[in-house]
Amino acid sequence: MSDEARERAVMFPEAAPSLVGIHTRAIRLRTQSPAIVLLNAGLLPRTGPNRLYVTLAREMAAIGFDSLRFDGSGIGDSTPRSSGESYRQSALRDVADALAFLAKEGGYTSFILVGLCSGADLAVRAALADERIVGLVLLDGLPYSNVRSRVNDELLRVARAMADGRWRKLVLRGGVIRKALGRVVTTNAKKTARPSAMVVEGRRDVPPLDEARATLAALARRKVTILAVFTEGRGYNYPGQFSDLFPHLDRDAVSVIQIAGADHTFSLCATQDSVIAVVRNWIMPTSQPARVLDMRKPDAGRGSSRVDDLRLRSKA
Amino acid sequence: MGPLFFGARSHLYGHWHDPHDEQWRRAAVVMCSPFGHDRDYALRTYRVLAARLTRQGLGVLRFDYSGTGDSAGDLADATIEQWIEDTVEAVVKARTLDARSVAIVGCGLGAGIALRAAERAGNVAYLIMWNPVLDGRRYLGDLVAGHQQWLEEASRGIPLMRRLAGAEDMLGWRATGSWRGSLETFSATTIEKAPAPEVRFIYAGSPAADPAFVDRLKALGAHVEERTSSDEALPTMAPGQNLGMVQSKVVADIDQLLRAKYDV
Repeated sequence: MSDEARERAVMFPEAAPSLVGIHTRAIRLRTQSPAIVLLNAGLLPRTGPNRLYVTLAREMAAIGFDSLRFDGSGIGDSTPRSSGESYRQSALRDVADALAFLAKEGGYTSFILVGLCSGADLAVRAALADERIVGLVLLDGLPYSNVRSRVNDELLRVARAMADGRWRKLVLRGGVIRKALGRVVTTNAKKTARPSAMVVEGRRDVPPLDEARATLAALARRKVTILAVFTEGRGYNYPGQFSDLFPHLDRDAVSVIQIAGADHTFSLCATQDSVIAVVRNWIMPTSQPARVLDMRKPDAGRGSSRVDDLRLRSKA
Repeated sequence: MGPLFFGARSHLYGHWHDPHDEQWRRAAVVMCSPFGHDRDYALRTYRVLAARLTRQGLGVLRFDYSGTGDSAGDLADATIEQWIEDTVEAVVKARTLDARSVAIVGCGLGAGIALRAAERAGNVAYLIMWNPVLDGRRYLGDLVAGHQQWLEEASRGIPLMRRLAGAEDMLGWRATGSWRGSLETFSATTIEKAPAPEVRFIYAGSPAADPAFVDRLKALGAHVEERTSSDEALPTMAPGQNLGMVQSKVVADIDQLLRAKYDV
């Protein structure tokens, strides 16, 4: 193991160990720092997409933060629960067990949850349920769109079709643009008509936007700090989109960053480096803030980040 | 026993699946993972297989090579030679867990590594190679081509990816020159002694091994059999495939082979 970290393989909960994880401990622990808990991205094992969680855990240890990355029930090395609970209940129980394990084994009293995609969704739900959770790192979490972002998506689709030489279809059939507008209108109608119960967006289990707004407001009142990192190609496509979607959120509650050139699983090394740097800068209060870049002109260097809505404007 | 770190430097993550006590046959199976995304895709299959084998009374040790999974280090510092040594350490670990007989199951590049490790360890009773990668140079070429194809497709949606992609990028991995070099020079076909008395090949949607190599194994004294499974190949290389899939027919084949070996 490295000079900055020690890792041990663990199983919990104590009563019936079924969840497997790796507890990463900093050699030079920052006193009273929260423990970081990394949640599975979909069915990907605890190592994360392209081993991102392993790298992140070790980088966090290097700056004094312990972490636990573990497999939820039925994922990776962990066995499924036999309790007959729904996925949502089971996943929340997994997080509760993880926090209980850390509290007992390491005496941690506060936690930061990190999740990508469905892991981010789970992190938000878990934070609502446990006041010991003081921070969230959401990678492509909060997957909400509005009319402008959906129009942008369709324009990008048309632009790609043009670039691919499929302009003939656009011209001859004439239906592509009409269909694109139709998708925007139909999707908008569906979203505004959606009931307030939990719904599945694609394969995500996220609440309707109004409920998400209430959740984030509740977390903000509890002073939970959130880092929301967005990649490209997943529907977050203009600066200010987050503040448009969550207009009443406290300016200090959420830091929002989009990493240029990053796909959903941070497949390029440069984007892996970027997201780790972003998380490190956010979690360390004395770090340099991320640079503000014009999103129309990505940094000439590799792995550029766009800082978008770093500080939300407070409402009078 | 469950999850553990082992090896001379406690640098290797592994997961030991206990055999059912009353049927413990003092035999263990070491599982060698394929490389990259294939490791994640094969994980569920390996877990299902481990569960079946423990019911047969066999212990199972799954593990991560250096610089992969939860093992120490990064791919940038790893070599195929290190991975062969890691596998030998896994065989040693299985023996310290009181296994008198050790079999190795390897998939993809893991099969080629398993073969070299078995040759080096010298005391492996049984070797099963599932869709083996035996020629490192050819495999590296496939990975590079696969990466280029993936990048071309992915960058249609995110054009900046073309500019950000670096020389070390390979399907989500930081595949440095040293690692690539070690893969390029890797060959499992130049072995000088039989890796095990019994060698089995399973082909599931992949081409068979070179018949000349199979003949070489036989000439070295191994009893070799080949079989084709009706399972498809793992959704190799590309990210974003179905992680919930289990190669159930391959599991059944391997289970059957080991039952026959250990007279279950």
